[in-house]
Amino acid sequence: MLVHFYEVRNCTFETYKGGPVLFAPGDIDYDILMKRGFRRNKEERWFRPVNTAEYRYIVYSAQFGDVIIDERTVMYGDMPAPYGQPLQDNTPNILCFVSVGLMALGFPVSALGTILLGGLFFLAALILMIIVRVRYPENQFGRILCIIYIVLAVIAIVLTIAAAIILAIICNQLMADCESCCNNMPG
Amino acid sequence: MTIHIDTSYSLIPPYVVMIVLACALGIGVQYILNIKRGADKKTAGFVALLSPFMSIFFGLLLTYAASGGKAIGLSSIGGLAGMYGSVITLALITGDKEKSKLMLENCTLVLPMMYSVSKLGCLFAGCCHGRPYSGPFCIEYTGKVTETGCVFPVQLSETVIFMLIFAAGCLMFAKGRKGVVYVVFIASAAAKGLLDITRESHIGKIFSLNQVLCMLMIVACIALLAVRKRKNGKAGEMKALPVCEGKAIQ
Repeated sequence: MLVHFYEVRNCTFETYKGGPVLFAPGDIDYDILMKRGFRRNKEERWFRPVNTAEYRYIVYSAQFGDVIIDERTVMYGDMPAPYGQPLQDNTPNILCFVSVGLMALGFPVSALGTILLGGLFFLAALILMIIVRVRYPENQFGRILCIIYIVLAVIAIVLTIAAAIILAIICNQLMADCESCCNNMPG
Repeated sequence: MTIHIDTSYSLIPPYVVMIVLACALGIGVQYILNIKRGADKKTAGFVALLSPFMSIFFGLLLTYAASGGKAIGLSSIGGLAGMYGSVITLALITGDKEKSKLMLENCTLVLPMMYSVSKLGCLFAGCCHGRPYSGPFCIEYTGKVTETGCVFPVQLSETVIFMLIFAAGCLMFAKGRKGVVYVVFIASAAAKGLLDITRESHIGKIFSLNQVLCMLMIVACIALLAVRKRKNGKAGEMKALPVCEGKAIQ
């Protein structure tokens, strides 16, 4: 029995580290595998853990032959009851919300605590967004968050450079003024 | 021969320009190398997005921790940790061992270039300068930094040596030599540790924090090399044995 998971055709349904997974054949494009949430294990095999709904659907459908999981199966509720629930995984949305929370908390923490602690919050927010974009590439929330964070990152870099330049100019001017003041001192 | 450097500037401070240039060059070259060597564009992009923030964070963190929370400033070794941190983070997220190894190699190759360019900023600003010295190529600062007298050109030496390490690394890599990254890493850490002796801040110390960290990096690199060699040897012996991880569900 083979499982055709979207564009990733001819996957095998196996157990790996105690859980059910789909193992992709070796000739599938890297981008497609990444897009469909496959990961590479130590043995260089691409696998994707199977969630409960997918597991039930595969086990039920296996009696009729090869199993097809695609947009049609998921979107139009082609799965027979009690397996017909659309596959819903809230993990990426939860991760995105946590990321937004950390990013929002980063500003007051930087202002009230140290800039390092705030930086830790910003980094954690950025990493969570990257996890969502890599593991769940089709998640819309993650996609929007990625664009927002890139824009924020560019603004942060430009502002940091500008602040450093302004600070250096002010210091330079202050020192120059101080020197001229000392030079003009009588006696 | 004495080099005269005026540390006063009219508008844009050279230190900021050089640090920004070093970061932009390093991250840009690393991104191009990652793409050229087959890494996923998205993953390479995320490394480029994460690395400046991680470098600044770890750069500040090291100075803060080393001074016992009294000072804050950018540290080159902290920046290095940040650059590697961004690659390791993406490696853990993607789980792609082969591409992660490749990205770590690219990171190691570009780091000497980044350090070389950033040290020009220190040279023009007069910070991290050398100990008193009156031989050839000694540096005499005028302008804001005037109290030093003639000093050893440690920043200039670092710029030249690290650019040479980068060039040698690129050449060896282009020729397909094995273990280039280990050579580049050990040469960089050794050069940084040895040149630290000529810094003014080293006067009165047996070992500076930078030297201790450089020594630790060299030891870690050699240990990694030894483990890898042993692993490769074992893999060669086990080659004939079949590998079977999963069991098919019927």
